[in-house]
Amino acid sequence: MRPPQKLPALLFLLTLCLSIIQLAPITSAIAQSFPVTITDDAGRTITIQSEPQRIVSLSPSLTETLFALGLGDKVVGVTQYCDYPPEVKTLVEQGKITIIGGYTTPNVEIIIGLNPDLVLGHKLMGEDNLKALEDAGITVLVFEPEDIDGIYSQIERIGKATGKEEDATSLINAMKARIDAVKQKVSVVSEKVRVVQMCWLEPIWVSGGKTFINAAIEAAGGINVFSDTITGWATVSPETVIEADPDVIIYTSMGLTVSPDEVKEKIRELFGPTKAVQNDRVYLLIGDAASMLERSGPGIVDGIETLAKIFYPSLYGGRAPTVITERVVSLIRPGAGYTQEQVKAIQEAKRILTQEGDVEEAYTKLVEAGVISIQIKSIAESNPVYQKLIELYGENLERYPTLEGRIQLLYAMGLFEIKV
Amino acid sequence: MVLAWIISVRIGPLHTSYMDIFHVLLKKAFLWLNWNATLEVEKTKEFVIWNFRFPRASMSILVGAALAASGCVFQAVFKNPLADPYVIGVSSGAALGAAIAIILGLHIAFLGVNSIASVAFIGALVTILVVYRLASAEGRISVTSLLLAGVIVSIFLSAVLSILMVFSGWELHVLIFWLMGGFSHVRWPYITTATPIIISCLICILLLARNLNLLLLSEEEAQYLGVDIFKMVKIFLVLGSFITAVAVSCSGCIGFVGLVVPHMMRILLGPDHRILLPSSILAGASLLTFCDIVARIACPPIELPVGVITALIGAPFFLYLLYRKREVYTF
Repeated sequence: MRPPQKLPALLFLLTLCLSIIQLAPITSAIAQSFPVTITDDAGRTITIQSEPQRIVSLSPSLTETLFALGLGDKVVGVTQYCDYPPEVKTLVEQGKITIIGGYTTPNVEIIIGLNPDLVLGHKLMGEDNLKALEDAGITVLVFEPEDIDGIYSQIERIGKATGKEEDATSLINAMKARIDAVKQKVSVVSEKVRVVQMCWLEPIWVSGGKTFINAAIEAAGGINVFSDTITGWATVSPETVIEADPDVIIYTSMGLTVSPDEVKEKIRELFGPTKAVQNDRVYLLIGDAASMLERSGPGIVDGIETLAKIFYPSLYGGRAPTVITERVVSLIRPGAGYTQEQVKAIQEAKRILTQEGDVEEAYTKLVEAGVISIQIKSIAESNPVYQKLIELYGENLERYPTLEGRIQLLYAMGLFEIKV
Repeated sequence: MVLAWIISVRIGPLHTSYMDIFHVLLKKAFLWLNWNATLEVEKTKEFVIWNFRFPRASMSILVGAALAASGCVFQAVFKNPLADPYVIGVSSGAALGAAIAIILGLHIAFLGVNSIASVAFIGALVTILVVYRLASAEGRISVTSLLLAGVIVSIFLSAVLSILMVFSGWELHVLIFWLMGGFSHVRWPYITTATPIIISCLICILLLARNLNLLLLSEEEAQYLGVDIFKMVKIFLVLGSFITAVAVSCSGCIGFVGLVVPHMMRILLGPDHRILLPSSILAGASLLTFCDIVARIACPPIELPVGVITALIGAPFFLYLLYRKREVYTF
């Protein structure tokens, strides 16, 4: 028998768990006591008098952290680059969140105008901007994580500053558990995969040591061939890459101006003799899939899991797609028997689930496309079958082998909506 | 120059020997002549030497020669020791063209050259035309107006470029590295497109080198010697700016070579353009190729922008020459 497949819809699982927690009698939240005192990465010791209600984030990774801690409704300002989770963009469109500029070029006037009681910034925000905000009487915390431990510490301190200490602890523990799981899994390989990661081709710009991507590559059991010779990022000539002869080439980009196929063609042209090109192991991580690796936020775990899938397909039950645009990579492909329309419907259902969390709509889509033929009625909570389902699949829904099946189960369990 | 080319092809992160280069050359020659080649070269080495090093070394020779020649020509035409190939705005026009291509993601590549180079070339040509138009009256080009128009158009174009850079977002890096100049992107199509243009223009300039000496005389004197000074100025300007446009489009804005190489040669060999021009071309080609070698091997595996190296190596050397010959230096 095949071992249960480790399905990648972890976001899915997390949201499901959250939903289940909501169903269970809610333990009363312990109100955290303020004031709290925090030392930030600029070495300043800051005391926060009361729980912040209006928060401005000056970097995409901080925005992601705030939303991961369930503080989305308190965020009033973000940078123009903050695009994750997807609801940030929606909130900006709705006017609930204001764009305050870039992360190195925040507009201090706009920030002050938002009347925030906490501003989270990266060191790149600049000393002048920091001083201006402080002079305006605004509490600012400055972060500059340098490695994965730094990300944990950043999450912990943000949790403390916002009265979400418990959520921060559980987020950190979940991240650690997932990273450990990956490390455990890849520990069996005898020969580590050698990797070159680049984000531009004109010029070729590769990551070396002391980058988040490098840490992620190592955690996923790979070796970045430039980790010793380059610190940070640098340009190299194509022949340097050919000489290094990597097994895998990872190309990340926040957005492409040409088609992924053109990029792949260019990479094949440039690095023809490398093992990566010869064995067709060139992977493009675009948009959200790139930002998870480049940002110092909780998404780094998704990145590590994705990289492990890319590096060691045999451990993960199949090859990862060569063009990845989402943070959660599904290795499950629709069965061979599906028509084009049905495959489309499944993809659409997946999108609806992960972006809107509307189980009912996803279910209807699958029923209409004929993917799901046996319609199940939703089961009352009092029904013992319901209890049994929760017991079986509550935390292990990811083990359910197909997406269709999972949607059907969720529907049956009366979870029409997942809070994404 | 030939030596610089060979060394440039030989040196790189992948270890190759002179024999490898020789073999690759022979193999390609045999292939071209349809002979049966039995030469064995490691595939990776052949790929690197043929696809990266040959075009790159050749392009640094071409661009170095073009920039030095046009620098030499412009200094004579403008009678100004500070003139360089970019003085009439060619580089700003090309940079703006490149920026437009990068930011709009244009795909109008022709002759196998990428769209950045193509649009940069168009930008350079349009700029030259505009500047000439502004500076010419009744069919004559006033050198002073040309200088002024060039500088002002440059400033204006730089401002537009800055605006584009503010809005360029993720593509900004491509532009910045393009502005620093370099040869790492050069492949064969660049060579096959640029070589005939640059070589033919260089030959024309060399044939007319004698006239550059006359331009340094007063207009009256030149007129007595039977030279149509305005026609000459026009020819030289067109040739000089044209090769600069080609060079800039292919390699980005590489500074210093065009300004200083002619001066170096003037200090070493004297001001006669019949000697100065060819020697500047050779020296420019060698210097740029040499600088490109340094750019590649200075701190491996990182590659430096070649424009930085030209200035770092060239400026102190030039100052040294200036210091040695400060009493006898005449323009």
